[in-house]
Amino acid sequence: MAPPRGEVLPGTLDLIVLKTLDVLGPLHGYGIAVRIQQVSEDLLKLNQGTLYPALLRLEQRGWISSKFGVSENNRKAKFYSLTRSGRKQLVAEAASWERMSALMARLLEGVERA
Amino acid sequence: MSWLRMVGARLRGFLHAQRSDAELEGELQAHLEALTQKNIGRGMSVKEARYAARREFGGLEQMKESYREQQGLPFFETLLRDVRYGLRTLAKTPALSIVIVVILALGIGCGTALYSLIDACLFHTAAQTYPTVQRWEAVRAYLPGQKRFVNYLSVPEIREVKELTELFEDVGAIHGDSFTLGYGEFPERILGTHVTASAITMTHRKPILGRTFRDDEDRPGGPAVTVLSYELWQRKFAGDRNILGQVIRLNSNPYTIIGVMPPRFGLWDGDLWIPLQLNWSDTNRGDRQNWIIAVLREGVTEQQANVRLQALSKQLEKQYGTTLPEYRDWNLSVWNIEDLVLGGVKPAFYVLAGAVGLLLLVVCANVAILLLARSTARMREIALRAVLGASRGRILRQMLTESLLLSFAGGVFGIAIAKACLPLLVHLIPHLWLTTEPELIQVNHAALGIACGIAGVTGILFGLAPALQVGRQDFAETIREGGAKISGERGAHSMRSILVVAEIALSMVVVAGAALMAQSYHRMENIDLGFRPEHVLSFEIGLPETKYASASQIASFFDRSVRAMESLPGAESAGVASGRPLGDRTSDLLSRDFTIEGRTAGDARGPENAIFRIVSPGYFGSMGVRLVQGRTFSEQDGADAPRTAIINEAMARQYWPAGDAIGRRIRLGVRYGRPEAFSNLPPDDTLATIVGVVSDVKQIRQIDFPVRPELYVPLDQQSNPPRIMNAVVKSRREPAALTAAIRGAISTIDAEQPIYDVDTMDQLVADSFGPKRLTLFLLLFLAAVVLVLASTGLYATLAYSVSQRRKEIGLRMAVGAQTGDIRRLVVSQGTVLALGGVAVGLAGSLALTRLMQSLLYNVSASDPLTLLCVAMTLVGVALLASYVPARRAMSVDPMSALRSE
Repeated sequence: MAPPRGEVLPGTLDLIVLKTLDVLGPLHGYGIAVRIQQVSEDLLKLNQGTLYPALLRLEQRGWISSKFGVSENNRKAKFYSLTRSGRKQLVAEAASWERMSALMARLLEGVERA
Repeated sequence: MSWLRMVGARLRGFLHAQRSDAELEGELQAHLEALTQKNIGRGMSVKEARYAARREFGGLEQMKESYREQQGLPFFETLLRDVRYGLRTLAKTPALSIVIVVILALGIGCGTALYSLIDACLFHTAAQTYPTVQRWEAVRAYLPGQKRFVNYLSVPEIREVKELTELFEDVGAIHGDSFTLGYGEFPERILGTHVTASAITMTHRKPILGRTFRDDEDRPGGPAVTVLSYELWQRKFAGDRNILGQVIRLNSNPYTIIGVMPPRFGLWDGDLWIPLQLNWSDTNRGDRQNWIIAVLREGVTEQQANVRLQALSKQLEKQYGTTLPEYRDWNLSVWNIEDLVLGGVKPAFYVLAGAVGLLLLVVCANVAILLLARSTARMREIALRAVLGASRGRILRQMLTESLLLSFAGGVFGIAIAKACLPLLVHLIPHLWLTTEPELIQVNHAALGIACGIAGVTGILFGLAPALQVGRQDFAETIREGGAKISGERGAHSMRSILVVAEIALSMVVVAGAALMAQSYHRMENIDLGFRPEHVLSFEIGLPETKYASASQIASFFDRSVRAMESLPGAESAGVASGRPLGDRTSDLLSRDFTIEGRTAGDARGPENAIFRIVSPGYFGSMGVRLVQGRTFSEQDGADAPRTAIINEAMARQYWPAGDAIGRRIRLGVRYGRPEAFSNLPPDDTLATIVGVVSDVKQIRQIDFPVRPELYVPLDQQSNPPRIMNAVVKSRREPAALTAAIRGAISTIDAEQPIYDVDTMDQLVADSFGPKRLTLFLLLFLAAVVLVLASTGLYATLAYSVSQRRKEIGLRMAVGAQTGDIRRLVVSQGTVLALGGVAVGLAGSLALTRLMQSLLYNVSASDPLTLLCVAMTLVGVALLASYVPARRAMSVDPMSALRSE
């Protein structure tokens, strides 16, 4: 049986998007969605539509920027790319996420043993 | 900083919503297209692929909505929607919305304009003109025997007050004077004030040019220097900034200008100030020429000061009481200068400001009534919205938006009306009535703000009332009942009734106030002035000391001018007097102590005292003073003839109640007041015989003040006649036309001699009614506005009630009620409300109009007849307001009313 698909944890979508853009460079919305699905091996239950408000939020904060380009299938598309302050934000957020997940792991060790 | 960027981005989004909506749409379509292609690639049919893509993508519209919320300024967007919707709803009942806005605007506008006028005329300007510094006091003496205050005190007395350093920081002396100003071609009479050096500094006002007096200039024999008022500086010297050091001539003596005070600095109403140069070693206690002004020490109360001053009075009485009878039981006390300056206008100000407040309350009640009627009618709509899923907060917000829209419109138009109305009011009111320069009357922004605020709060409170009931009612029931019978209606109905009763009660108070004032004014207009002002011209002449040194020179000048004026064509008679009736202030009047032959000098009541006027024989006839008994002065009362005097009826009544005053003899003593006019009037040991009794002439401008005992003595018998006299000319025609001829006649006697203050006595009488008339005018205006508002409120309530009871009325008519019955039904409802309002209003009037008693002349504040008339007027207006809705009720067609639901 396939493992249950997890919900996107609140607040993590931003980090996921930033990381995706960091790794792949400028991408359009569809590209980001495809990439996230690939990496999570379809374990993540993502309504792809929710990406767009998140992208807007990130752009408003100045962490990503957007400009129009031409997609692989020759259509006009909006490409998002990481800005400098976005990269800084990614580093900070990734560090804090690692701390948090390590902490959670430690806390949950006991649970598993019990 | 990132929140700033956020706001910026949102604002951009808000402004470019259209463009980015299209952008988003394109982006999403591309995404869905790609997903569909992918699914087709996986072998799905086109239809399946598209469906799966949609599923993968999630709720498209929800996403767009959250994107938009994220993108723009959702609060403002909803607000704009609310505003648009609100405007549409308001436009659905245009008459009601317009009436509400108009009432709000009128209330705010008229209220503010009137308040601004009242404030500027009665209060603000007075406070601005007379610098009123806290803890600034005058010291005056009360003579209980004569029941009067003495404002002028002598040098030894000033010195004794000055020594009370534990009470006062600073003590100065001051007195008003008038001078002939020699500068330029023609001499001019101006007012000046003698002040000790500290008197100006006490006011904490700094000169705008130069300096004020130094202590070394305020000594006997000190330099002749002067500080100008801003107004004189502008008028006479065209605001020349190089004026300092220039020399002007006052009564032919040179004075050097050392400073200019700021505009409207009215310390004792002067055009200029000169140092008093008091001789502090003067020991003459009877020579009382100056006011005492002083600043209380920080922390010293007026009560403490009065206790200490009383001790001083007792000590002086013990020391000098035997030789100076005025010290008997006298009592020094402080008199706050703000009270002194504003005391006279305060009652009128409070009454008018109170009336404006009541007007505003009536406006609020009115708006509340209309809004309640409006919103109860909308219960059904609100219930429907609630059933369809609108949250309570959302409905509240919608109602709030509508109320605010009304209040806002009312406020905007109100401000416009205030701005437009004020100049109109100022224009409408004869400038003679205004106690200030018209250009100083500006819209009072604080009052405007308060009025808008009160109106806004009322709008919000009563606009929200129905929305607040939303949570408490059964919507399904409301909708089923068609909004006709809603749980809130009973509450709203009684609330409206209470508001109407309150409104009528409030207007009753205002109308009663105005009616009492009108009554008082009417009685005052018919007051006996004691003289006949028609066709009388009066003006002042002040002879310079240098030119007219001796008594005979003065007497001869006045004698010749009276003859010259009498012989003018058109003139009937002429005379001169040391003062004219309706004087500016009590303090300007000269009074003298006197003793009556054969009676103990100054019995337990202290010295006798009467207003004192020096007149030429022609004065009585020219002024139209009535002779009651005996004779007036004539040529026979010359310098060498036995001394004579004439008294007024008040004096005859007080001292010779049996009517046997003629032939009695009196001896004149100490004098008080207006020193410059009577430089040397020593107590006179010669007995004067009373030869006549004349009518009581109103001595001061406050016409409602009782006339004090007064005695007249002939000019020819004065060893030291005054240099400043008022001439009166009785003419056959319009008296003002004589002015040029009179100037010509005077110039034939002394070409350099100016005449001042040329007024017809009619004008002076009109002047003295000015403030009262202004108060009356404004009160009547307020009463009219309030009355209109109150009847609108009653009308609206009844009209609404009729519209709600159409079905009931139709039923009644269907089962046989006559139109008369229906009329009675509506009118009786109106009458009950009106009677309730009038009853409450009567109680309110009795309680509140008492506060205006001091403004009323010869009218009791609870005058039953006036109150009855007012009550009847209100009931009448109420019946009129009920009649129109009654007519509408009578025209209800029973069939259509019953079918309409």
